[in-house]
Amino acid sequence: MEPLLSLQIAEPRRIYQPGDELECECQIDAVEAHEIQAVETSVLWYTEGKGDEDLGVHYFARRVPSDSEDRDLRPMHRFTTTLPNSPLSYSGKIVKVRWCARVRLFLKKGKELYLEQPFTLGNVATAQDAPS
Amino acid sequence: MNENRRRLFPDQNPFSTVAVKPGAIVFRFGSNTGVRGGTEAAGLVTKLQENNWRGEIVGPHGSGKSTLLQTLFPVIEAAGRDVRYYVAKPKDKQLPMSAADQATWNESTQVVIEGYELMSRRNRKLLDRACRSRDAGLLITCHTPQGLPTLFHTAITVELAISLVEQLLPPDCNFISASDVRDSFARHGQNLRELLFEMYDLYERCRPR
Repeated sequence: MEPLLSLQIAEPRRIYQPGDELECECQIDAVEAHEIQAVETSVLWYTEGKGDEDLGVHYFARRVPSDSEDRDLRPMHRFTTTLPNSPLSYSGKIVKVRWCARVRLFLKKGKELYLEQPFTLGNVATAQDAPS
Repeated sequence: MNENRRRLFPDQNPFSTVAVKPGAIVFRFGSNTGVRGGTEAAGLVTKLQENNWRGEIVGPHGSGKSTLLQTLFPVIEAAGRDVRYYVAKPKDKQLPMSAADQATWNESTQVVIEGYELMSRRNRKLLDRACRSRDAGLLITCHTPQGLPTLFHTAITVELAISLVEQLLPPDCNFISASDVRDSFARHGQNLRELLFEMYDLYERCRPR
């Protein structure tokens, strides 16, 4: 059975403004605690489009079993970060800017899984077609 | 592009770089999918091994050489090879790897050079000497044969282009058709990369907003 990753963003609408605090909760299940090598949580933006891709990591934390009192990284873990002024989320024709929270699970067998949850930073209008 | 990603990002363009870059699409072998040559990845690695881990993948721009490399890498690694991947850059006077890096090569190292023809003649000789002196293998991609044993010729047909576009499009997309792909193929021929760029633009122009 595949390990189960859960990642929740606290704000149900998932729309934030610069300076807001993003709060996330992640949890791991269906895997033994001793099989987990590390869990990385991050908040990042990346571009998507037809050209080169760009990426920026705004928040990053890596936890290993020794970071937990009972060496168990599976229980719910909460992390927060204050969101920056830029880049703002954008859905353009040539490029789109995505923001997301991400959790990556590293198992001792070398296997790796990840889950991401998107959110919107700012309120830049979506690109529209020029009127004909 | 998988359903999960489409669900997360409904404005996703199925032809964006993340979905079409080498490694995101599995290389397709066999005449039934339009790529000439019926050898599968494992067979190609066996052929590479028989050639003392030296070989070249030949094909025009955007015909799938990098995608084929990405498909071969796990098979080469599973054969016990330590893959060292380098990309040659135009007008680069240096080799695409440092001397310290070269010093770590040994008989289980598989040196892979993307864009071999971009290296100067002198650097190609230096590279060849460095590989031979350490018994490292050498696999390259190039547009015309460079004198190594030819592993595979990549080539795109219109049938393959149509099949790939159909694979990338969401199931409910009804505004890009096979005739759009045929028209684009007529303009770009073997260059699938350019064809997919054109599909990106077409998708952005036509998708509902």
